[in-house]
Amino acid sequence: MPEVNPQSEDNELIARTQAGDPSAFDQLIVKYSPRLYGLVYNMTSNHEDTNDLMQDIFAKAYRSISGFRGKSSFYTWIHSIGVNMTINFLKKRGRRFQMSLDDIDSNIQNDKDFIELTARSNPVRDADLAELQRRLNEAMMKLSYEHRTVVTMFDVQGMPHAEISKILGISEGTVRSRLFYAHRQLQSYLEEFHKN
Amino acid sequence: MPDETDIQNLLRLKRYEQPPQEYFDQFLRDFQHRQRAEMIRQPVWKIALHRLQAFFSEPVISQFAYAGATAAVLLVAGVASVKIINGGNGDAILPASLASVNTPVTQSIVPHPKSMGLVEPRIRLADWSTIPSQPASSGAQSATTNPHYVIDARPVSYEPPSSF
Repeated sequence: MPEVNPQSEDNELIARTQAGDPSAFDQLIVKYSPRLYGLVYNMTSNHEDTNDLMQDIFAKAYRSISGFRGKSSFYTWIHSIGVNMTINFLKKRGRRFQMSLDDIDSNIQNDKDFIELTARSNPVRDADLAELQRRLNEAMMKLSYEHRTVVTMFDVQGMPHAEISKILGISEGTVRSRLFYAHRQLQSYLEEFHKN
Repeated sequence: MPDETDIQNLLRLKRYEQPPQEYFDQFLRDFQHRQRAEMIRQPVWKIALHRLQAFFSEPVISQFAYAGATAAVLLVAGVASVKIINGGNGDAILPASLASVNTPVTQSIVPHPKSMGLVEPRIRLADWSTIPSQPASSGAQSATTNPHYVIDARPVSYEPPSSF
């Protein structure tokens, strides 16, 4: 079976959407909404806000898709819209946020990082998972929007530096420096948790 | 103090904070519903513009050809029927009001007696100058006056109230 290039598949769906076929855009939503959800949710820490923002992001993308010329991939383009809209939303919302500890997926129990982390002989092993996540979310929310964005994209979503720099429109060096600074901040925030 | 690897491992756990697949199915349905609602909420001028664009995007030459041909057929039929009805002389049966649009009022009100086959009317507008300013004092005088402006009768208002 021939391998389908995801880029060309996206281009075909975009062309069909531009030609007035809304079902093609539905396929793009199905393909990208889980990843975009992760990005937005880890920046807002609130499911309702994330849901509203996702609707707005895809609505804006649908309205603007006639102007999409393929200079970047759809993935980069939709994530740029998502990041910009989420940062604007966060600036308006202020520092109000809600914890996400109730929404931890049960799959986490099978993740090798989780097993390794909880098996090591350090205070984390004895910590309750919910408490761990709560602390982490608190620490994340103490970061600035820009630092939280790069941490979400790199550490949570696993995007490469080059992709992050394209989406945010900044240099790779800036991405790396923001990451370094953000990690240092998170380390200091979580230090107290490790001591306990 | 946790090292950077610990931090990164902790952050990686956050990628599992995802809603179930049902959420994304419902999300798509909500998006489609919202799209349709937005289309309905469009202003009237925008809907009219879209319809106009849709109309002109279709091949309209044939539509105009049908309309033009129908109009031409109706015009020819109309002209032909007028000629047939007139029998080649349309002026003869034209009503006086149409035939004398540009003629003086006195002539239009009083058509030529011979052409109409009628007796000469007793009153002409041109004869208004002959009407006396005061009513006739006697029936004999009025009878001798030619033409009459009151036909074979005296105005009721001039009869004495005690005549009955």
